[in-house]
Amino acid sequence: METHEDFEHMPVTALRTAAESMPDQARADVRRRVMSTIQPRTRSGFFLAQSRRIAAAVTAATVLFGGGVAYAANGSLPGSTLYPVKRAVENAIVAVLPTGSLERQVLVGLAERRAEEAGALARRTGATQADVAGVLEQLRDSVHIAGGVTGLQEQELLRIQSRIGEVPDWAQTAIEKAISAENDAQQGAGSAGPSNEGAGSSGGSGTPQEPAPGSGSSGSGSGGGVSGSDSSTGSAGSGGQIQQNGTQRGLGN
Amino acid sequence: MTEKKLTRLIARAKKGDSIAFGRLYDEYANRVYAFVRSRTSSAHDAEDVTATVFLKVWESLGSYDNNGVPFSAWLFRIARNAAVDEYRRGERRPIPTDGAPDDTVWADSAEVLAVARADAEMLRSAVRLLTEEQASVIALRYWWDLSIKETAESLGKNENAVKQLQHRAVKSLARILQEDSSYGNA
Repeated sequence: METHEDFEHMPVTALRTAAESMPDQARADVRRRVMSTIQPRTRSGFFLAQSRRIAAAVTAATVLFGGGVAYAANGSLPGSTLYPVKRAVENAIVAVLPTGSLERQVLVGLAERRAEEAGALARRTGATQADVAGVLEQLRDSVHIAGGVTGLQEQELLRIQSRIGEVPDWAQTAIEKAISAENDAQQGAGSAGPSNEGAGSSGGSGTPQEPAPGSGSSGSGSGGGVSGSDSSTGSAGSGGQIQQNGTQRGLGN
Repeated sequence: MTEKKLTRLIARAKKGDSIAFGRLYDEYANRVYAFVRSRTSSAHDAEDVTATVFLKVWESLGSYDNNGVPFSAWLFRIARNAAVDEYRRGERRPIPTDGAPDDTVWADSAEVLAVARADAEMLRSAVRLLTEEQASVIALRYWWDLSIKETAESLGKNENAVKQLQHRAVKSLARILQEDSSYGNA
């Protein structure tokens, strides 16, 4: 039996589900189109970018995971003179990587590096939490970037955590927390919406989510939910918007 | 994604970090698509417009001010402009709607049922027949999950105007659905 409250919610739910999701393949195709266009500024640059992508794919694996001189040169830690150079090289590589599994592999590799650096800093004599705070922030960033929308897989997380090495207990806790907390939050956001299920079903679950980007109340990851903070919309006559006390739902990406 | 994470991504993307920009795309592609699809005649056109939107975002990110309008509102403006351009290329005309808000009580009106009981595809078709502003407010409020204030910022209107616009949009949807139903039953 429908209650009065159910009755008020009905149009909101219906309108939410009317959001049309982009099919997975189309979203990936458009992403490729966009990402392959934003690099070059000229026609010749386009071909240059393509060749750079191929070169980068090979170079990235060598530089990041290979041995020899490149690996040794990449052993600098935050605070050292060479560290900015190391990061600049990393950024240059990831900027030209093609989207896909290699990109993910490289990004996870970079998160492993950050974990390794955090461990190395924590092992230094007299190291304090303040000494590793900066790299923990970078570690969180890298886990976030590597995880994309859905978060990292368990084996990827384990690989990153394994790079910490032997460190004092306080550091172990802090580093692992940085890794897992970031990923947990991301997995929560990634599973917020029904994703790309058919007709854009965006509002069914009502799963509480973290605040959304840019608005403080918009849907995590992909919109579609009902604002949780705007009481002005809850009343009859203003369009039927119903409040959900801070919860939101996503269209899913 | 939290606001803090979003801010980090935007900052990186503004500096030319394409990976961060790709994450922004992952975050917003569906929302942009949902809106532009409501203003385009085919999924293919909507995909093209979505691509155009993100290319414009990339080009304009340098001028985006984190302390100004919310990113969602800023992004929507770009999406809206691109959709308007696309819409003008077509010849479809929106169903005229009366301009003044009425006093109908939303929760008690037959319009509630008309909208609530329509399936998603019917609603999508109906949204495509709304005026550009009405479709925008439906997209922002229900699909982008923006508050009235944020929607007002996106549309360049005050909050009262947005409330009225939203109300009219839902009424127009109901009217379209009811008309469709009448035709179907005739």
